[in-house]
Amino acid sequence: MKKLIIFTSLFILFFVFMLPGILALGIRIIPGNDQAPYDVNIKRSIYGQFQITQEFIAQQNNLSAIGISLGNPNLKNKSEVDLVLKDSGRNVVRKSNINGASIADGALVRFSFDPITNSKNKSYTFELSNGSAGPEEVINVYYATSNESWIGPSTFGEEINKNGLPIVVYYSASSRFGVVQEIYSSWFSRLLHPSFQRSS
Amino acid sequence: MKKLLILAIVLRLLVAAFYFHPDIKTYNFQASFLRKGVVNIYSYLVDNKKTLPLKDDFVYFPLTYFVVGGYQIIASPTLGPNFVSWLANASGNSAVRDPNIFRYLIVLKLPYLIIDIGIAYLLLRYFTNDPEKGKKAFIIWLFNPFTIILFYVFSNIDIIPVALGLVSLLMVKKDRLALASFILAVASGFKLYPLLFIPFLVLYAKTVKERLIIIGVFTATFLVITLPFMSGAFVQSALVSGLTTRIFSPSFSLGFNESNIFGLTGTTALFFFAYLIDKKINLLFYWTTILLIIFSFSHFHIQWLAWLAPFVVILFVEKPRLGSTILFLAVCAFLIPPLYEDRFMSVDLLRVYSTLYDLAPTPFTFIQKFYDPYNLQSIFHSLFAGGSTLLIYKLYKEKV
Repeated sequence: MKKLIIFTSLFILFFVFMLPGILALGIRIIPGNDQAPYDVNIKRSIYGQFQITQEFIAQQNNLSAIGISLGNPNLKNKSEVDLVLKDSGRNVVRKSNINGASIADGALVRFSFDPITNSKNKSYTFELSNGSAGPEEVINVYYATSNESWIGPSTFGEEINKNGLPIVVYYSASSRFGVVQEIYSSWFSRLLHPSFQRSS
Repeated sequence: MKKLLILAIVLRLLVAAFYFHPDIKTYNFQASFLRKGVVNIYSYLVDNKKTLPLKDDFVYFPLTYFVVGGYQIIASPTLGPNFVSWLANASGNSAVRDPNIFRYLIVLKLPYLIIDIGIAYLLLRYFTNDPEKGKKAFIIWLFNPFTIILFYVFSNIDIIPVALGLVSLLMVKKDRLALASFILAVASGFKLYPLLFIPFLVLYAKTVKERLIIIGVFTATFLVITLPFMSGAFVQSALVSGLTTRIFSPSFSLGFNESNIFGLTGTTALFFFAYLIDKKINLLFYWTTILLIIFSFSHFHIQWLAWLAPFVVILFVEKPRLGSTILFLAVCAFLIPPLYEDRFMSVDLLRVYSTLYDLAPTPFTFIQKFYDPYNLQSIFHSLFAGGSTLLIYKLYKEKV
């Protein structure tokens, strides 16, 4: 019984203090921002020739993914959703696509691509399209309800929305141990009294 | 003993404070309407779905609502003024970053801790005639990582019917069958699964009169608890919810749209074995067996494993030779759910530490790189089913 007590005590200590660090080693990218609030009732449908364009300024180097909340009503859409990323000179720098079959309705969908090393403070535009889908199998995008300074307007046909899309931009983590350190320091700071906690 | 108890409590509080499964927030949000005077939560949630921030149905039985809601009322001074808005916060990120979340988690899981310690003492009492065995069961209950994870990581409200199931078994030991039946009915008022134990309790009774009393007490108590809520909303949310019906869903086709349901076939065979062959029914064996059959043939929730826990501890103590088999089964059963695609079965349980875990690979995606995770789940499930078959065989071989 003594062995069981020691084993379980060590296991729980490992589970609470060590396991988070080990699992954090698997985190390769980190979000550069929190997602802006959005209203699911303010949406536009992309299919066929209808696509949406969004401008933004990367806040860090190693831009490696863009997350967008997408609607897939009744999970009908099973066609390719394409994201084309262009630089300020309108040159295509990255492409990414996800099949509609793996897009849950309302999910934050991440379009990943090879990191762009020197992306910091550079302006980018992405086009999101769903060319092979018909009007019965649309993908919905939602407009943000507030404006972030680094997110420019989005364009849907002739329509321009100044708040843009509630995107999350991801960057490759500079080092795995950096992520582990960030997680532990954020966790320990949260153990302090709320008035001493770090703002996230 | 006192030192052990303190250590057991500290270990539980550590896990309780830092691991978060969203179910605890969801059912506490739903139970918070008790404070506003809502009695029928099932129809209230259906009627107000459009305006509520969390849209889930209440999948538990009525007593869960009243106990969780009642506890919230009692505990409200310790939860603080922002607790209700935290419950209603539909944003996954800001809810876990709330500076008060550690306090909320500890206070909300405190009843589990009390019941958990209570179960340890019930096990001690189960072995009244053999204090050594009682002490062993007490320690195994308090110091096994499985139940700590089940109750404090997954915020498993099933701990209430689990404790009542054990109390019922104790009543059977004291030959108070009507009371055992009443307690199982109350347990079924939290979650339906103790209903599965009733047929075996009926067969355990020696006379027709006793059997009729057991059936009568159970039926009357269960109806008193559930009838006031009987409505389309209750039937859809709790009675025939996906969770309840999943127990008997896996089947193989017989053709012409007809199927043979594995779990029901096994349960029926067990019932007739008890009815026709077994001359001296051991309810501990039957209640354990029926759960093993169900878990062997269904895509189970990890929380369901708690139903087995006290029975397995008793078996572990009473039949030490089966200890390694029981441990093997427990490990297999615990390896299956983290392989589901559900992120809250693995990495997202750590979101209180950091929301960056949203970007960590789950065991499913990690294994996907070199092997089919569904196949791995199937392997573990088959190992569990095979091991359970052997365990069941060993339990009854010595009896018949």
